[in-house]
Amino acid sequence: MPVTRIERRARRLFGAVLHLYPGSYRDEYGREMTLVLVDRLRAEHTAVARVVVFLGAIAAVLADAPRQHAVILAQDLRLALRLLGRERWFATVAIGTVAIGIALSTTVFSVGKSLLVDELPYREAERAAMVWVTNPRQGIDQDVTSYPRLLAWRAHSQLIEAFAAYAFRRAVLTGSGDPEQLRVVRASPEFFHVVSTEPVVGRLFAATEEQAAVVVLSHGVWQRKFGGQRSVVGQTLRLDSVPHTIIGVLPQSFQFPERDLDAWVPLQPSPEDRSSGAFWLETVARLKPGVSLVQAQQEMTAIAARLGAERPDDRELGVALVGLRDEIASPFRPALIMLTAAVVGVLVIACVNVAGMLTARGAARRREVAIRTALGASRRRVVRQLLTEAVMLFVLGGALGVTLGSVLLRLLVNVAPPTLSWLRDVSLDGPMLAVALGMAALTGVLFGVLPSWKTAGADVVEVVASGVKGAGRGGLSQRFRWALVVSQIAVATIVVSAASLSLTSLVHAQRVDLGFEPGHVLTARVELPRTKYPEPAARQEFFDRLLERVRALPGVTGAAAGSLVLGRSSSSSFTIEGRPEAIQQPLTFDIITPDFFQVLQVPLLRGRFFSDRDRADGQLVAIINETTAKTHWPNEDPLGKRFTFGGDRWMTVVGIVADTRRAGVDHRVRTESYQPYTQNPGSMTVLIRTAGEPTAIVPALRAVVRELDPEQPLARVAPLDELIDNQTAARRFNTWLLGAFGAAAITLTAIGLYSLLAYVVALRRHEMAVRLAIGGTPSHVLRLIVRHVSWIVGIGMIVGLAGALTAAQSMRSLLFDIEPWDPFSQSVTIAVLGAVAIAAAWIPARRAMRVDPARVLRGD
Amino acid sequence: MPLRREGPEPDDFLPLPRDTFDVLVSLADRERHGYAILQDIAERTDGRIRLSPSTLYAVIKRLLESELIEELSDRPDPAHDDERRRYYRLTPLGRRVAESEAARLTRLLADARASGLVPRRR
Repeated sequence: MPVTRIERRARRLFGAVLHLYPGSYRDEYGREMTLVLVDRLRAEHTAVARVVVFLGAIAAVLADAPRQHAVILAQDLRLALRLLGRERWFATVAIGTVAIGIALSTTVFSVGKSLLVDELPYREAERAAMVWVTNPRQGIDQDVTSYPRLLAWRAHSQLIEAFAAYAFRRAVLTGSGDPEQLRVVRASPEFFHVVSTEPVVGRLFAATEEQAAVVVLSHGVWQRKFGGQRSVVGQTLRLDSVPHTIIGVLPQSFQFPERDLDAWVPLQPSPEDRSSGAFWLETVARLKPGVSLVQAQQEMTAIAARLGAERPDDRELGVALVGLRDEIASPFRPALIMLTAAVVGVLVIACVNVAGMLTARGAARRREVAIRTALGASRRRVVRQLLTEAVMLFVLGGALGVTLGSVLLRLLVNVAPPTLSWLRDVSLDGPMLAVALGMAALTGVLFGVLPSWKTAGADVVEVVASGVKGAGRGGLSQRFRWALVVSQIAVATIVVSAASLSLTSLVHAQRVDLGFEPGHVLTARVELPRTKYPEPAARQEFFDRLLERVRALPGVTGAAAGSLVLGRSSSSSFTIEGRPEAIQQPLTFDIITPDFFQVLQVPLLRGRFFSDRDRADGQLVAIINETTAKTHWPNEDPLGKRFTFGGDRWMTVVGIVADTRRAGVDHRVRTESYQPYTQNPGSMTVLIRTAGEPTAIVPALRAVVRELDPEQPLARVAPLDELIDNQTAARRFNTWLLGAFGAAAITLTAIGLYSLLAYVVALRRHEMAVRLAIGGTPSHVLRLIVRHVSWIVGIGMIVGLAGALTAAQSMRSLLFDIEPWDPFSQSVTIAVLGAVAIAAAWIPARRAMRVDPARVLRGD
Repeated sequence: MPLRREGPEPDDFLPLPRDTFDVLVSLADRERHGYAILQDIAERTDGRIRLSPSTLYAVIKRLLESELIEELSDRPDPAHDDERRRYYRLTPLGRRVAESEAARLTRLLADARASGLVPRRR
C-alpha cells in the first residue's frame, strides 16, 4: 500500500480519537500530535512496526485524555469558586433558590406519589374495590351496608368473584399481662382472599369459619405479645374472656382496612345481625380476572336497581365501587393535587429567578468574556468555564436541596395528623429528584451559558466601548426579564391565593358552632365485653356505679356517657307510627345516660331530657334533634309521636335538642335520635366535665374503673377539645403546607423582583444622572421606578388572580364555607403581594434616588 | 501548575519525572520541534524510550505552564518547510531545573558507586 494512503487513513483515525481531548487542548496540540505521529510512522520500515506505533499512540491518547479533562475541570472549579466567593450575595441567593425549589418539589412529590401511584402491598390490588351504598337524594356517597343486602349482592353478581364484609370492634385482651384493649376487625371468611394476602406464619380463615373462635394476629401484636415466636399458632388468646385459637400472623405490610390494627376474627354474625336492616358492614370485593371496574360498577348499579324494585328498604339506594387505591388516596387527592401544583409553581419561580439572575450576571460579565476572548482564550474554553460555574451552582444548590428535602420530610412526618401516619414510610423520590435537578440544571445552561456563547463571538472593541450601557443588549433582552418576573408574580399570586383560601377555610372551620361546649371535658371509652356482661342489667349497673363514683371525685362537675361522642353514629331506616311506609333516610341512634346533654351543654328546645324514670321495663322513649323534627314532622309537634327502627320497639319522642356537629365540623347535620341507656345498654364513652384541667382526673378515673373491675381497660382517654382538634388536623396540615409554599413563593418572587429592579437601576443610572443633572428631582426618578413596579406587579397579579380562580375551582372540596372568589382571601393575597413588591422595590428605588449626577457622568 | 508570584526555585520541581527530564535534556543544546524531541530521546536511549505523541504533548503542556520551556515564534529549521511546526526551547529557569536534576542524579550515582553498587569506570 502506498505510504500516502496509509498516512491519510492514520491521520483521519487519529484525528477522530483526538476528539476525546478537551476542545481547547485539541486546538492547541492536536495538529502537532498528528504531525509527530505521521513522522514516526514514516520512520518505521515494516507494516507491523507501523501498526504497533499507531496502536500505541491511540492507547496513549485514551489514557491521557481523561487526565487533561480533569486538569481543566480543576482549573475551572478553582476559578468558579473564587468568582462565587467574590460574588457571595449572588452565590447565596442562587444556591438558596435552587435548593428551596428542589427541596419543596421533591418532598411534596414524594408524598403524593407514594399515595397516588405506588403499589399497594396487596397482590393484584387493581382487582380489589370497596363497595359502598349510596343515597343520592340525601347526598350520601359512601355508606356501609346490611347483612341481608350483602347476601343479595353475592347472589346476583356474576362479575365479582367474592364479597368480603367486615366491621370494627374493640375487644379486651386478658390473661397475658395487664388487660389491654385491642383493635379488632370482624371479617367474613373471604376477607383475606379478597385483599389477596398470605400469612407469615400459620394460615388465614377457612371458608367454613364464619362462626369459629379463631384469631389472626397482626405482626405488631405477634412481636409485642409473643416475641415473634412461630409456636404462637395453636395457642389461645382470651378476647373479651372468650378463648380464641391463634391460627396465623399477617405480614407487617398488611394494613387493611386501616393501620395499627391488632387482630382479625371471623365475622360471627348473630341471628339478629343476619336479618337486621341496620347498616353496619363495610364491604370489599374482588373482581373476576379481566373484569374492569367500570363493568363491575354497571352490574352493581343494575343489581341495586333490581333490589330497589323488590325491597322498599332499598328504593333510594345505589352502589358505588371504589378501587382500593382510590379508596385510600381519595380523601387526600384534592389536597395533594393542590400541593403538587403549588410545588410546581414554586419550582418554576425558582428556575425563573435563577434564569433572571444568570442573565443579569451574563450581561455584567460581557466585558470580561469579550476581553478574555480577545486575549486569546478560545470561545469554547470560555464557555466551558461558564458552564462549570453554572453546573457548580446547581450541584451545590442540588446538594443543599436534597438535605433540606430530607429535613422537610422529617418535619412533615412530625407535624402530620395521625390519619397521615403512612407518611412515616415515605422517602425522597429518586426520579423526581432527578427531574427537579435536571430542570434546574437546564435553566442554568440555557441562561448562564448561551448568552455568553454569543458574547464570546462578539467584537471586543464594541462590547468594551459600550460599557455597562450595552449590557442590556447583551444576552437576553430586558423585556424578556420583565416577562420572567411578571410570570413569577402570576405564579406566586396563585400559590398565595390558595394558601389564603385554605387559611380562611381553616379559620371558618375552627369557628363553626359545634352546638356543644367541648372545653373542660374528658372522654374515655369503656368497652364492656358481652361475654362478661351478657345481661343488660349488668352493663347498666356497671355504668351506674362508675358514673356515681366519678361524680363524687373532687373537681368533677358532671359525668355522663354515650355510645358515641364524636364521629358518625350508626343509622338505619325507620318507620313513623301511622305512616304507611318506612322512611329510607337513615336516622342515627345513640344510647345516652340522662346527663349526656347537660354535660355537653346542648340546649333542650322542647320536651324533656331522659331521667331515672325511663326504665328498661317502662315506656320506650327517644329524644330527637332539631333537624329530625323539621324534616319528619314539618307541620306537627313530634312530642308524643312514636317511631320504630323495626319490629315492635315503638319509641315515643319526649324531647327535642338543638343540632350538634358531633359527626365532624365538615359534615352536614344528620337526622339524629337518642335512646336512654337503661333501655339499651352497651359499651359507651364516658364524658366528664371538670372545673379545672380535664386530664388531671385521669388517675382517679382509672382507679375507679380498677375498683369496679380490675380486668376492664380504659381506651382513648383524651380531652374532648383535643378530639375536636384532631378533626381539623388534616385541614391544618394542608394549610400549614400551603402556607409554607406561599411563603417560599413570596420570598423567591421578592428576590426576583429585587434583582430585576436593581439591574434596571444599574442600567439606567446614566439616564437618571442626566435627568437629575438637567433639573429633574429625585421624585421624578422615584416615579420612574414606581411605574416600572406597578406595571410588572399589576400585570402579574391580574394574570395570577385569573389563574388562582381557576385553580380554586379544583380545590373546592378543600374550601370550607367560602367560595373560590372569597373577597377577604383574595384581598389578603393582593395585599401581601403588594406589600412584598413595595419592600422588594425599596432598596433599588432609594439607590436610584441617591444617584450623584456629577460622579456618574464623570465616571462614564 | 500555577506559578507563584515570587518565582519558583529550581529545587521546587525536583525530582523530575523521567519523561520530563528527557524532554528538557533534548532541548538543552538546541531548539527542537515535537518529533525532533522524540527522535533525540530515542537515539540517546538506543530506542528504548519512544514517547507517544500524546505523552509528549502532555509533558510539553506542563513544561509550558510551569515556564520551564517556551515556544519560539519563528522556525529555525527550514528542512521541514512543508509543514508548520512548533519549536520549543529551554527558558533560563528550565535550564537551571535541568541542571539541578542532573546534579541530583549525579549525587545519587556517586552514592551508589561509593557503596559498590555500580562498578567504577575504567
